[in-house]
Amino acid sequence: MPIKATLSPDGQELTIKVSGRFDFSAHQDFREAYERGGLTPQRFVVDLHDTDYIDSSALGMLLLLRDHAGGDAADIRIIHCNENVRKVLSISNFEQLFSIE
Amino acid sequence: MPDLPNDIDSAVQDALRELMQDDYALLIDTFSRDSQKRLAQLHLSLQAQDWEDFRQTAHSFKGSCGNMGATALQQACEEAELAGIAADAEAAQASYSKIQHCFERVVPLLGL
Amino acid sequence: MPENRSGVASNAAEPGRLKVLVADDNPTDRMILARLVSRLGHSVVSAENGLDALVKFSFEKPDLVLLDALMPVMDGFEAARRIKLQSGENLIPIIFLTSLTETGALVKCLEAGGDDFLTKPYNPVILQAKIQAFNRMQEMHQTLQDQRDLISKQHERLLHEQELAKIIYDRVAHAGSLDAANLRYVQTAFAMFNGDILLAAYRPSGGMHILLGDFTGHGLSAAIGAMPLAEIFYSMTARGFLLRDILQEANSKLSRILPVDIFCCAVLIEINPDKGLVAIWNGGLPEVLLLGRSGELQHRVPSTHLPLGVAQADRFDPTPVVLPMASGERLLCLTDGVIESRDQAGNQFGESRVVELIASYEARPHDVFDGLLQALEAFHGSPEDDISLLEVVMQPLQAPPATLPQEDARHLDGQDWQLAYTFRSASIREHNPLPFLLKVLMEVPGLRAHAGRLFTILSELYSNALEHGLLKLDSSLKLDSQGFNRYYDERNERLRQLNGGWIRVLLDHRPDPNGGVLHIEVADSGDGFVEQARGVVRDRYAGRGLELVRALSDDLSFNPDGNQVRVEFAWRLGHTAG
Repeated sequence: MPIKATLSPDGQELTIKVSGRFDFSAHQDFREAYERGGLTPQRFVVDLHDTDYIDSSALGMLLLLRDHAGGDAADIRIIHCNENVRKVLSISNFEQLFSIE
Repeated sequence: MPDLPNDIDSAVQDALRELMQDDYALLIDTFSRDSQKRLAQLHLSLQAQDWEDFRQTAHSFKGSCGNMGATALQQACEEAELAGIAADAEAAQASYSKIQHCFERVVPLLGL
Repeated sequence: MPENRSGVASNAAEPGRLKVLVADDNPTDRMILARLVSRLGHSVVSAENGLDALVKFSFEKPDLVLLDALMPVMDGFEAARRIKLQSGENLIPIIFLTSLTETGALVKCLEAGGDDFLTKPYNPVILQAKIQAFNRMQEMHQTLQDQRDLISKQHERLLHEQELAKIIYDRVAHAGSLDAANLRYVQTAFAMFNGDILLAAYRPSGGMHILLGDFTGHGLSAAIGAMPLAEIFYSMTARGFLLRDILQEANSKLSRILPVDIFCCAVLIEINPDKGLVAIWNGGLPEVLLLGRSGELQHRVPSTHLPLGVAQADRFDPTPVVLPMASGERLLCLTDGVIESRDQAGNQFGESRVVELIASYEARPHDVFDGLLQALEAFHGSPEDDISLLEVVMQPLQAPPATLPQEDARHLDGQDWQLAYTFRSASIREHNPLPFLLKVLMEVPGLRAHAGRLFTILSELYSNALEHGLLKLDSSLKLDSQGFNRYYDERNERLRQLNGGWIRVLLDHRPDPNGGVLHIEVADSGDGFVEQARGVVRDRYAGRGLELVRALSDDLSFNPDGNQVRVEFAWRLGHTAG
């Protein structure tokens, strides 16, 4: 499964791990990962450790997550970015919207 | 000792009567005429030693006998069919006689 | 010859009532089977042999065929083969009637196209079950065919609609002044309907705005975003709005109308040959490269902003980078399709390769554009991404055509009026009043031909009042490119904090026998610019403003304090009316 979602024991933080290509094919699964009923975490973590490729549709998915998580009030960290991923995120200046590690 | 096959399976006849309703008599008549034609055809192909024709005729006759519930007659036809396949003149003759014999027994039972 | 049938049982008056072809050479069997089938509620057609069956099949078009295997004239196998051929893509089940029990014979039935068997003597229950099963199968088959045909039609319609959309898109997104002499561009055919947009338009005061954009997504969703963007770009440029105004409006509009996950990575450029300046805003595209006259890489403008359509209005930063740009210097802009182009081995073209290529064309900057294209072509087989490439050369622009939207022709009536507008700090911070003022002036038909000059005059006077009068900026900062950025940063910061002060613009038009005279007065609440104007700083950047105004108008004067400027502009009728 390329998308794996884990909720912290206290239910406050949802970690979404993306493996392989983070492109349009992940659209449905990524959305379902946080839209599942009953989940109301305060914080989100997107783990891109196993992501080898990211394109503009993935950026769009991150924006959707941010919108779902409260827009400007959202607390989203994007972690374990490799060089390529970091480059794509930085050219669109997404560090202005997300905490990127 | 195997049971002798029935001349006519009355259950089948009952079912046919129920199925055909007013056309039951027509069915019997059709069977009768067709059977006589088959018999004549068998005789001809037997004489001509045309085993393919003999087989085909016996095969078709077998089918209608089955549908009519004429079990003994059906079995005789099967023997004739096998004889035709084997091109066995003796067996063919024997089966032909048997067919004739069984048919004669069936006729009164069908009210013909 | 395959035949077409519509509907499940084309002959059936009621649903579930089939037309069944019964082919058996034995009259007894035929009669019994026909009766069995009709008692199940279906209509029956009878045939005596294979040929008869084939003929009846053509004429009667049954839904189901019960076929005796061994028949004279044409046997069941041959008949079955021909029936299947005639059925074409329709599913007409064939059930063989047989007392053959040997496997070999049964296989022969299947090979001939049979779908099932019914053994003699006929069992009514089994017969019914088989007919029902095949009926269900056939209904399913028909449903599939209908759905397939529906999908096919819808697909065709979609393609047609996309073609129409592309025509509209091309008219909007690739109109404008792309044929200007100072522009060269390339877009791969794939790119044109897949999110890449390229716009260019002249400004009324001289100069040009250019936009290179790359929408996320492809096809229709991207094209839909391109149209409002193009509308804003063209209409605001024509009305004299600044780059930052256009950016602010475009970002707001796109944020409003586009879904959250669709946005537009873009570069917007304002090129100003009169002042030798270029302003570049980069939100999401690769670095814009500024090449000097000898082809040396002078400056790189990376993406420092969020793409259009992402940030809320209060978070959006429309501030461009301002650079000096001399005649003969050029800009190179590309979408990420160029950078991310992959060769057979999967290596990226990359930014460093672009820079190396530029270096290799030293002293031949004119050839860089083609050189880059050739290198891209040589690099890979088929592009994975869309490629857009743009070159902008700084050179004197040809006189822009009348750029304002044409009003209905009016009588050349004398127009005799005065209008004064005072802008206080809140308005000054938030709005650019120039387009509005220009619109007022365009009410005078005789002034329309002079829109460019008037706009330049108004712009310069207003900027002066704002930057020197209210913001108290020192234009001696504008001596080099570093200074430029510092100047504009400082300007924006002070503007943001502006609290108090005012700028008054007075427009007074009087007709005269030859045409008319327009007086423009601009006053501000500041201490005046006189010191600066008298100052010795007369290089390229500072002090040019007032000189320009003086050159464009008939008279220029200012008060002793230097916080009030008056300009006179006369226009002549070309022909007498009538």
